[in-house]
Amino acid sequence: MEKIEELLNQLIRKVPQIRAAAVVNTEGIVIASVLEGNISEENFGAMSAALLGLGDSVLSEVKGGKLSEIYVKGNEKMILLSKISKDQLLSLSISSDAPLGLLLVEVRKTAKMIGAILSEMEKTQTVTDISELLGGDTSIIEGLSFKDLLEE
Amino acid sequence: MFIDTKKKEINVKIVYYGPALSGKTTNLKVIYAKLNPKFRGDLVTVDTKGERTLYFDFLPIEITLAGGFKVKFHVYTVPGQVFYKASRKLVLKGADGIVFVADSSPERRESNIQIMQELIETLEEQGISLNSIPLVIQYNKRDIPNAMSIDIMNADINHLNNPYFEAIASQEKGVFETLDAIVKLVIKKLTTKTPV
Repeated sequence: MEKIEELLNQLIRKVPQIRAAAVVNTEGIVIASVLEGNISEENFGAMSAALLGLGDSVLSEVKGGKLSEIYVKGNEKMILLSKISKDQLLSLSISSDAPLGLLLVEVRKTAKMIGAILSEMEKTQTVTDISELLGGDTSIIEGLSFKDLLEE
Repeated sequence: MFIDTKKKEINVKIVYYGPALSGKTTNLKVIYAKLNPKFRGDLVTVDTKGERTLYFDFLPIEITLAGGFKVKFHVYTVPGQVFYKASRKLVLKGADGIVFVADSSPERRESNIQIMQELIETLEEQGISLNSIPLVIQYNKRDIPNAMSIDIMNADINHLNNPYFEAIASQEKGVFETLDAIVKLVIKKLTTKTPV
């Protein structure tokens, strides 16, 4: 994921009006991100996936073909979603004064490069046993109870 | 599910599914209100003025285990009205575990059956069979005077004998029992061989 985060940082250096950048899967889970401190990664991911789903549905309704980008502009910021693959998208929050031409060129280029990295990762990663990640001790996760995590 | 081995992080998606006004959002609101704030983020609700979920509710929960291992639960509800089927399909995509919140009111019997059938069909469209995904059923609103019997409700919608819980979500009863149960089922699945 460091490679992807580096690409996101490069993109922000090229287009400094980008305030937040995240690679999100269609489940709404953030795979990699460079976000401003006041943005919740989880919320940003969930909303991005929702927007993507809605865009897909609208396009399907008007027989508009496959979705590639979604652009939502407010008077202060705009949101740009660029599809990386069928399961992932690049989601950006950008100041409204960003030069749109340069932005689109750089975003499409970055999305393509991230797509190549993710595709390579999918080939190399196959199956992981969670118990291996936990050092063989699954009791720490199996004993999880939310009743122990309530506010006193 | 998404696993980041370097960050030692597992991301799990749990979806509360069920007919309109069965109490899915109420479950999430109780979890949000009672859970220690250090373990949860903000509750995002996309609803109408009538408090009906328009698109989804979302609550992120993050727990750090011994050894710095993080488990992030992304908890969603779906809109229950029949005409929001497309939204339910989208939110359901990639779910690791499902809580079906059924309404105990006899007037809602057909809705429970209809939405359960739709869930089965939607999962099948996504190549998932009901018996392969962690599923817990919550029989909510047990406090209404003419609540259906559990036997009837099980016969209607619990054909695979999934774990079930009686609840009065508005009074916090059964909410955390249900959440603990679905998380346990999801974790049980995770601790066997799992695709990344």
